[in-house]
Amino acid sequence: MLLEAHLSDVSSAMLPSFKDCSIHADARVLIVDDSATMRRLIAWHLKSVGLTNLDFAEDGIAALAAAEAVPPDLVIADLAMPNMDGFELCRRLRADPRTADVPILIQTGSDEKEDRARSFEVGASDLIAKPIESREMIARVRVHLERRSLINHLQEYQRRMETELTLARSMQHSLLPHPDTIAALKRDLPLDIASTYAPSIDLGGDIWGIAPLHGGRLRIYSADFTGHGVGASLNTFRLHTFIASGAAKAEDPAAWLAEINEFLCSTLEVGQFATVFAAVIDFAVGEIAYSLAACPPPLLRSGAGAPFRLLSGAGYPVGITRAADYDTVRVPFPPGSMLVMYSDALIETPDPPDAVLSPERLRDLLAETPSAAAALEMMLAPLRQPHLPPPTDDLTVVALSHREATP
Amino acid sequence: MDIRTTTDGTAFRAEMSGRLSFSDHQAFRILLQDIEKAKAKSCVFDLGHLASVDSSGLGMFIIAAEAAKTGNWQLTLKGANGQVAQLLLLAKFDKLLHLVD
Repeated sequence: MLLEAHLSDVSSAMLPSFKDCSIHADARVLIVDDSATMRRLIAWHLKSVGLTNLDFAEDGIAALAAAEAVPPDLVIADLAMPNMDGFELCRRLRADPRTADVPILIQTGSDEKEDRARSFEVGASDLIAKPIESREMIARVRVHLERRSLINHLQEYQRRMETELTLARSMQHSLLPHPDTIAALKRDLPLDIASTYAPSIDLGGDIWGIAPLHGGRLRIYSADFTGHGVGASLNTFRLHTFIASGAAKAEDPAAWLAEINEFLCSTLEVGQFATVFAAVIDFAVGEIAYSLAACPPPLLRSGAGAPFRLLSGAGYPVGITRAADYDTVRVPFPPGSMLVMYSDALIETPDPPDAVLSPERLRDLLAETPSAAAALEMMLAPLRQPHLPPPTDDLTVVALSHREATP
Repeated sequence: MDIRTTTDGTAFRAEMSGRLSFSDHQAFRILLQDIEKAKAKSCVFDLGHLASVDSSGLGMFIIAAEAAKTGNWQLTLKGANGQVAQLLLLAKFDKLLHLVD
């Protein structure tokens, strides 16, 4: 074997073997060259560092067929070949989603400037100088296989995270009142409800809930935990579990908030807290009792035709200090009344001071709203302008009206 | 958010501008480490140029207050206005922290 005898003095022994590196040793390399000698020469170099999973093609057409049969991890291609040259091969590989990301190393002479520039234009990842210099070629192969491997790992990680986040978003969504629950409430009590919950892309800390109390009364609340992401989301599960287990027993909204505050003070890390709106509606009496914990001011209309007003008032967020105390306020909620609560994303898109909506603007928008569903639409429409960025946090809006008796 | 800090003996001053939000968590942690390193006895967060804050930003003030208690230094929030002042008052932070005009 004259060729291999000649190569014996071009030692690759100085190069670290790919065998030491399990992520690359089984990498599949497709060698495309119309010269059988060059194909064997390149293969010999690659085998000498442990790369043995090799595939061969004598022109671009054969290379495309080979890549289609078994997608390679790296392609080494010559430029001048019969039937289909290296430029066209590059273009075709890049156009096929299955090979769009595969590293392609093109062999060119160092004085062929035009070919070198064109190679990159058609999608080559790198160049290998002709005549082949073993150490340079192996170094470039190593760099591109490593890069490929890292990208594969990152893509796989990203796919897994996306799946996990989709599942988490769906689980968080399931904490919200089920449509069957709302349908039952609409049947049993004189109310209408419209709501929307749009989770942010990276999860968030919004939650709201509704539950009948004895005597034809109803508890409704909305909470927003600090921050975005998995941490805020997990805190909604903590709160939901605490509430759903019946651990907060008080009926009075302020006392109920105090119980939740006590729980969250013992649970949350420093710097985490939730803003909450809590209310109990008594449909028979026509009254709403509510308590505020630093939430954006909800809107209330007391009776049909009455103007909306903001339920403003300071209150400690829950989960910061056990010394926090809360107040319950009672106002009339006769038939025709409506309560609207929302998370801060509604009035913080885009970031203040440029936000499109403010509590005062919401109050003005809702002036003539005929129904809970219409109220929801009126509040969300201003955020749907195409030039506006999507909210960066969860967006929750809930409108509840006290249905007027049908004549 | 941008933070500019100055130290004068044991008095530390951090001037914040822009929007203080969730993404500033790391910057805020580093700020607290710097206050600790400076062995400051008092620290003023100048919020005069802070355009807005979100609930995570409010949380960072609570973290700072906790660090002040542990590190035995005094924290003052100065000059909050507009949306920042509104949110601080909405959450009764004037009762939890030392706020000055």
